Amino acid sequence: MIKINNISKKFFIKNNEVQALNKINLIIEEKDCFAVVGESGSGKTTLANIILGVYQQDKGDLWFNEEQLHKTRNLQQRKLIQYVQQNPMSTLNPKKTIFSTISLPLRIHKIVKKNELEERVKQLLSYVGMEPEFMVRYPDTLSGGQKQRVAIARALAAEPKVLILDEPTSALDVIVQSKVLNLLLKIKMEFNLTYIFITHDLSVVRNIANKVVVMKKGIIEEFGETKKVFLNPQSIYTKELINAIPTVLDKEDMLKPK
Amino acid sequence: MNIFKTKSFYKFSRNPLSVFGLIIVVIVLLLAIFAPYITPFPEHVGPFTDFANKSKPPDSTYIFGTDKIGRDIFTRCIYGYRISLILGVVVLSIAVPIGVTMGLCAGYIGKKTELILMRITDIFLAIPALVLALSIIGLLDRPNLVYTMIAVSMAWWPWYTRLIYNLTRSIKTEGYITASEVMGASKFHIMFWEILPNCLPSLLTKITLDLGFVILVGSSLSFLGLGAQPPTPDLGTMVAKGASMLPDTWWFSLFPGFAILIVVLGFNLVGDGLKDMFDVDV
Repeated sequence: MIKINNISKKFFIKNNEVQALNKINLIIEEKDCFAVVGESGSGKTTLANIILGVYQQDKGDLWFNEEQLHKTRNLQQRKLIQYVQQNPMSTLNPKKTIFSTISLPLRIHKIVKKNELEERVKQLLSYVGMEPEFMVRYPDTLSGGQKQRVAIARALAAEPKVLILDEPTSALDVIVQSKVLNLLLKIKMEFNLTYIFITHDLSVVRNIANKVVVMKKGIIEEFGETKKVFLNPQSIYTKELINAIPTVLDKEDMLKPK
Repeated sequence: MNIFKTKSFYKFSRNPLSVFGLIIVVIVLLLAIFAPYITPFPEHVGPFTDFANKSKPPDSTYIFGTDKIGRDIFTRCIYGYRISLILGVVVLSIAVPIGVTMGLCAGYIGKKTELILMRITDIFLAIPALVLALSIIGLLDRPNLVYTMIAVSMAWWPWYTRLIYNLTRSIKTEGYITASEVMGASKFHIMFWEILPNCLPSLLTKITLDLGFVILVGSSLSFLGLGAQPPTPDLGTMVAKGASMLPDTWWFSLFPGFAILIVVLGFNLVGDGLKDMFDVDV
């Protein structure tokens, strides 16, 4: 479905060259829940931004099915890949009502007629477990978890094929985290979505992803099926990451590679 | 959202100086709108002479006195507010849309656009507003109120470009802007529907503060003989005409000068209140 071919990206920060991605090759299949893990600065978000068309790669190419994607995309290509961001505080425009926020992709892509907008927004809110009354509210009256739900509804409104989730639960407390994760799993099944899940939380990856790529300083350290990577990690860095997962029970500790 | 029920409005209403400023502005607006019904001698606004009552000091009939051709100064001050407010509103109606559009484009579109638009803005900003307005009026035909408005507008838009440019640069890194880009929203939509609403608190505050300053610059130009021409009752022109008669006929200049002071003070106090209310820096 998504083919990432030899992609490299450099940034210049205060005249210093930083190699954010170095010759990345990946294939993401349809309906995958594909996790991208690594420490801060490993290139996870840069990779997501290239897939989303926010950045243009310096080298390599990106394919969606048989179509090559560039930074400049047409509306149809934009519609295919949507994303949910890490920070619920900045993900919604504070001056727009929830209705205006969720209906934006519907209006841009002309998904429904003008007189059907309200009904569709109500439907999207119900998918993410929110009441229609929220439509008239502004983001500053919502909790972090509710904001993330609205962001998910907005992403779904475009009827995408792929959803990029950039640490969508890292700013939420543990109970809300699990509710949002369950919601994401439900939505994935319901809409046959492909997920690219960017996170540094390996315990989340173990529970929801079927494939995982481990990144470090812009290169791929390890890539494979989640179960295999967790049970038998090949790279020392992956072993260190897995061993760093906090555990409560001995049973959980025994799952870690020796 | 009902603005009167917000914490910000409560903050504004608890500031006595801002409320005082608002009262002044409302009174001045009402006086200007209902001038024909409030003023005792509306006919004194046009080409009118009454030499029998010339240069009369303030008394019960002429509360601000009369000028050297017998016109009531109170009536002319109230009508002068009309000219000043029209000047302020017209100037900002021209300057704000130009400045805001330039600022949004410079801050959002890209480096080349930014470079071109901001250098043009810097050139205009390098010349003081009054000097620039004087030069523009000098280039135009004989001075009148319309030319004054054009000249002051040309001197005023760069300040709005600078303000909106700085705000746009900070807002465009917000997550909701990236979300709109990813969704496929047009640059026009992002600039005017996503970024601009977030600039409005700063913009409204600056407009309120500037109304006072524009009136002041307009009056200064009139004082120099480059604004509204007689017999139009303009506060700056009235101060200028009376200045040569000081201190003998002090009321010629004092009351129009005081009228300018009151309206500028009113707008400044409201602007300062809005600055605190929205918690913005302009």
